[in-house]
Amino acid sequence: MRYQEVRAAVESPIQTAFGALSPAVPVFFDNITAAPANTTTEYVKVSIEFGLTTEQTLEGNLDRIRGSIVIRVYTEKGKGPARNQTLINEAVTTLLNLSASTRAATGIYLRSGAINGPTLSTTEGAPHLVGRIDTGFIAEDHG
Amino acid sequence: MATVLSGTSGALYYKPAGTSATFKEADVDVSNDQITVGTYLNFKVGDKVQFSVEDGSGGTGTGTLPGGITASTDFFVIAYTASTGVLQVSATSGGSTITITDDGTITGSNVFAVNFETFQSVANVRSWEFEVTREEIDVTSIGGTLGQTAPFRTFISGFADGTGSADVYFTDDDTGITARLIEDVTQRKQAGATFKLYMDTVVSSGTVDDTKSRSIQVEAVLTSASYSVSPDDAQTVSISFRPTSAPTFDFSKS
Repeated sequence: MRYQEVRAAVESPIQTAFGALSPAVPVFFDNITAAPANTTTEYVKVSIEFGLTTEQTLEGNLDRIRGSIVIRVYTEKGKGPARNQTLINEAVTTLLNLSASTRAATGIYLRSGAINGPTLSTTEGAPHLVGRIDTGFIAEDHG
Repeated sequence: MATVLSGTSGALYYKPAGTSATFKEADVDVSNDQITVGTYLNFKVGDKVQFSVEDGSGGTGTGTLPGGITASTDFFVIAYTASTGVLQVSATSGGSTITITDDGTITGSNVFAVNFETFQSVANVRSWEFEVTREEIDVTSIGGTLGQTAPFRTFISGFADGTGSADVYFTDDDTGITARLIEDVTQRKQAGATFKLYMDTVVSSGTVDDTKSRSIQVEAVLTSASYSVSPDDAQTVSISFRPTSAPTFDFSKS
């Protein structure tokens, strides 16, 4: 079970997409400290959770990894939703590209599911408007 | 206190369809070490088989197997040509063709038989079901003494029949017996297809101990394969089968 490679299959294209923007928007992943909450700097946070990772048979288990992806986009509060939605659209496009990918003979094959969101929210005292999308994913490990 | 078995104590073992055949002396080619066992069977390179002499109805027969072939001994298919029915076997897996020294001896209705030897575990089985049913024959007679309550019909049981099914995960590994089970639905000659359906699989030294396990063994024909593919679910194939003879029920642990 190559959880790290599955995670990379999600994180890498997101990192690339936001890194290609001008200016680049920093992306933070699980267990990496995100940008300080008291700044207005834009950033993206990606969380990946694994759900069921096997299918049970009478004789044991077969690999079939499922999980969820949550992407939160942090933009400056009080400036309307446009900028946040622009960045959210970048994330959605990346997920759609993942979902349209085709399987190679070897390696991780990952497809995202239906995308839920974006939902926009603010927290009193925090400097950001937070846009959130989430989706499920299914990953196959073909070695 | 007894322990209720869970599904994980079960298993499904299988011998492929088209892996049981008979032949006669004239089908033995001594000069080329070949045996013509019948066309369009389903022997694959590497299949472990055993030879025997059978009477005309599948029981033990009398006769002498072709020279170089011994009963109750494992041989391995190294070549089978479906269009001609020519089979070649070796004494070891991947070995060279055995030398056939004579064409053997059988008389009357006796035949030589070659059969797939060992049940193989179908590792990708998610679940199996097997149902045995009996015909109901209505033997109600009229003219009985009238009473307070309505007379009940009377039935006796008739022929037995059965149906089975197995749900199998479709994986990226097509080398095992699972893929063969799935493909066997379209195999025209089904002879040899046999299921061993374990409720209670007891393993000793790495192999199933049939004296301690409990199972249903059934020669069958595969009747359908239903493929299920959707983006949300694991790919599965639902296989259906039907007995071709009375199943053997072994529910004893001794």
